[in-house]
Amino acid sequence: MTEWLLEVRGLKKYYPLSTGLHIGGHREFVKAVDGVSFNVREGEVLSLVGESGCGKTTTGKVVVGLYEPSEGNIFFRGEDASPLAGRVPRRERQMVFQDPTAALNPRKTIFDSLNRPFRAQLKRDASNEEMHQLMEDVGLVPPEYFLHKYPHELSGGQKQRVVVAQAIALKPSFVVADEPVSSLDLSIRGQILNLLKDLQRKFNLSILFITHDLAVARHVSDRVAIMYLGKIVELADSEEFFTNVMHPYAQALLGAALKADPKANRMTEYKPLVGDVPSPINPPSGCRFRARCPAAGVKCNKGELEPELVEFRPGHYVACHICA
Amino acid sequence: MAVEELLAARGLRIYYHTMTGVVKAVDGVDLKIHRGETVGLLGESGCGKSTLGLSILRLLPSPPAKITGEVLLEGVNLATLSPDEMRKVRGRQVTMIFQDPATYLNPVLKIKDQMAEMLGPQISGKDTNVEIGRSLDMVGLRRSVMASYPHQLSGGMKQRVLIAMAIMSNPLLMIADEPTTALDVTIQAQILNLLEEIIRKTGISVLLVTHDWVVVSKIAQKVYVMYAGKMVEHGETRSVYERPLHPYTNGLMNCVLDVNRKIARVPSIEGYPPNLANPPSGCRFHPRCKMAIDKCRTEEPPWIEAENGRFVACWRVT
Repeated sequence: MTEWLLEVRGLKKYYPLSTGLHIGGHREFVKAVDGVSFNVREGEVLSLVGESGCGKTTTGKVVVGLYEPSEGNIFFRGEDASPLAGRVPRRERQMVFQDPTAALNPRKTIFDSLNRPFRAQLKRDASNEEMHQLMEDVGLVPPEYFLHKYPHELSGGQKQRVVVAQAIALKPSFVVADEPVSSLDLSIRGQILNLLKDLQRKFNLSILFITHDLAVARHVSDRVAIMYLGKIVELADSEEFFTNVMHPYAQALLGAALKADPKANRMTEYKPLVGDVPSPINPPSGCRFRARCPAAGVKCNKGELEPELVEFRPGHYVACHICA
Repeated sequence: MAVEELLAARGLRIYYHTMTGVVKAVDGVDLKIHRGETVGLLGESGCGKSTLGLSILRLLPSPPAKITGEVLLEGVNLATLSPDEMRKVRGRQVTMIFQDPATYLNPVLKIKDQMAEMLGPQISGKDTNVEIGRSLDMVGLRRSVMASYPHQLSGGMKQRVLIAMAIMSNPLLMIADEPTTALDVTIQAQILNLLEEIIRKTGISVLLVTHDWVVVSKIAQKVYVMYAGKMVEHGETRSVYERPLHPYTNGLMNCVLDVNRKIARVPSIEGYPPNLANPPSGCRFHPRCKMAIDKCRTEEPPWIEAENGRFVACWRVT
């Protein structure tokens, strides 16, 4: 049996809608994450790919312990990892956010920002060596040049390195990287992706890599999970996924990824998905994707059973009636 | 017969005077758009591409912006027009769509009323409805959208409304500033297909301002590449893709990841883009350039036509 670092079972996160007074009325919820199960191995990168509003960031925040799940369990090395249980120390699970400018306090120097995790978790200041080592790990050299600067004095790429340094400061075993490169320029993106890869190898980190970009997912991940409207619709090893993609939504996502070659883009008449993502307040019954699905059949209709994640090939899970 | 030149910028400089010094956002660029062409303006954040796009319509507040050089639309220097004349250019001859469609729609007006503003007061109510209906058809929206408020529409639909508004007056030129950046990939594909179709049907010229090479490669025939306030390369999109001349363009192309092929190390360009208040001497790309020679550090490379229709500013090419 494989030893999982992190196990997520039937995770749900509902946000209550405030729609004014509720006198005898029922409350409505945004079902951001609606029954998600997956595992993360020690030292692997699992990409969680989906469009905006599909619940990928919420999943990340619940898994890292920032939010309490509405339902479901998270186990970390077999221990209940919910914030209330308090069995798993915070420093084991860390997060890298999308926008480094928003993630750093503009009134604190880089030194102060990096010292925060030490003070909050270990109740002491970081030693000089720790701080220098940390800066070198994330490629901010020479450290003295950066430590006493403020965030606005750094470029976007440098700030994202600081945010990564914050996340790895206390040597966590699991990091959620939430769109860590989508606010960065193309010429800088590779630097940060390679940095994350290097750190992952060096510290045997497990990373839940949240992204909307399949090309990025292919280049960083060992396994890929595709989310749609609060559910995982396909999960497989990266190479298996990109060679044998099965779910119609995943196929559409791949089809929408443009090529660099102008000739290829003009020749292929790709047919983008019609319509928009339905509201997560009242997701469609039956298959959630059916309204936009080019292959939908009677089994997918309203009132029918929702497709479950089924293992089609070893390690390749798909939730689709038609693929079955 | 030579294709007619629609828009030309010559020696355009846009400096922002700030507390910390003069930020040279655009520093002496030339740009040409011919009738019926879609031209990509490619560059990373802070390279001056949006400033350039806004300056064409004189939408930059001045001060702090100080604009020199000229922008000619059908041979008329836009800088010499009075504010009244300029208003007739905006929204009539030249229109603009932006990155975040939600910001550019009025949240308290129905789509119909906002679109009617494009037509002006002289048109009757009945004609207004016909015109608006026709524009909505063009962008693939149902006519019932007319009675909706912006918050009732999705991001993709809002961008379609903005595109409808931008083509209503049959303009000569549409400036599209990152039209798909805020949208999801599947919606981005829809909008790009739509733009392609509109360009084909109406023959409108488009200046496509974007950071995304794949968007350029999908709909633009020609491309300008900007770096740190300067043009570095220009040519037909195909020819630039197949053989980029400038090391920056080349590096940027390498950074585009292909979903169909995995490479071990994700490529990037070393270093960071410069601060435009204090740009590097010589070629602005030299601190990040692997091919830089001594001359690149001291002398600015001229903008020259290296081959037929291929322009570049690099000492290693000349």
